[in-house]
Amino acid sequence: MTHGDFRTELGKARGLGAARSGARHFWLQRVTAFANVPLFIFFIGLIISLSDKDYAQIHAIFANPFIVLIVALILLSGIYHMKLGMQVIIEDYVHGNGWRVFILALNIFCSVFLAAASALALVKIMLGG
Amino acid sequence: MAVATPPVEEKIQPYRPSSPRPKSPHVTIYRWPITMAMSIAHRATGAALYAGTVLLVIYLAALAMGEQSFHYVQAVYQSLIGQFILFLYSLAFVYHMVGGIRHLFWDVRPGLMEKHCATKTAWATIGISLIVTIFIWFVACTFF
Repeated sequence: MTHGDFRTELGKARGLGAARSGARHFWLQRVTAFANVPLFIFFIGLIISLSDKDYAQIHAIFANPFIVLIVALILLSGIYHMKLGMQVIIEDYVHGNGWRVFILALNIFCSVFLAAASALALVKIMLGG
Repeated sequence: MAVATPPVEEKIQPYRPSSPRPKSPHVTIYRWPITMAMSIAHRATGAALYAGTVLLVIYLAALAMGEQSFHYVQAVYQSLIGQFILFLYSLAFVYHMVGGIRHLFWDVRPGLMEKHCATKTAWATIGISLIVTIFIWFVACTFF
């Protein structure tokens, strides 16, 4: 070990150790959690108000640019928080390098697909399709 | 040479605990503290909300696809099983949010993690989530 380097030679040879992205993961998990609180309180109110509305009324609500903006933020913050959380669960419980990498990639694909599909739906509704 | 051989019996004494009680808290017989159950439930609800997000995206996609597909999804969501799943979704949602606020308070005031305090806030989280979830369904069913 050289001075100031606390990693063992074996650890270096195996290529294991911190990926230097843990602090960013931790921080973004908290930032999205903090953002989710007001966004989801609004979201719950929005969903409650939809319960007596018909298709045309609900469509009109989701075509409102202000609602689209808030719902887009809800989906962005919520899905990113979801992706980060599921990543931790996978890292904790899925062992074996190949399988683990595959499931981690699957988590990213699912999250991006859900975000893209909902964004497309919101754009289509807003443009009156 | 006269070397005294130690008695064999002394070496292979079977282990006899002085008391039948376990030496350490073993998971299978350990009474779960509420804080431990809460930690597990926070992760479990988080994973469940992943599936909940799929339900939300299906709803938005159906709304975008047109009246017919929207009515189909609405019929599924308004069925008895659909309503039951949506109730569980809302409970997991509120629970994870209230528990998440508890976690955010811990991040800025680590002293709140002290076990007596954490136990109180654990029971408070359960109570608040149940009350809020029932309140949400009460308002949705009564006023809308």
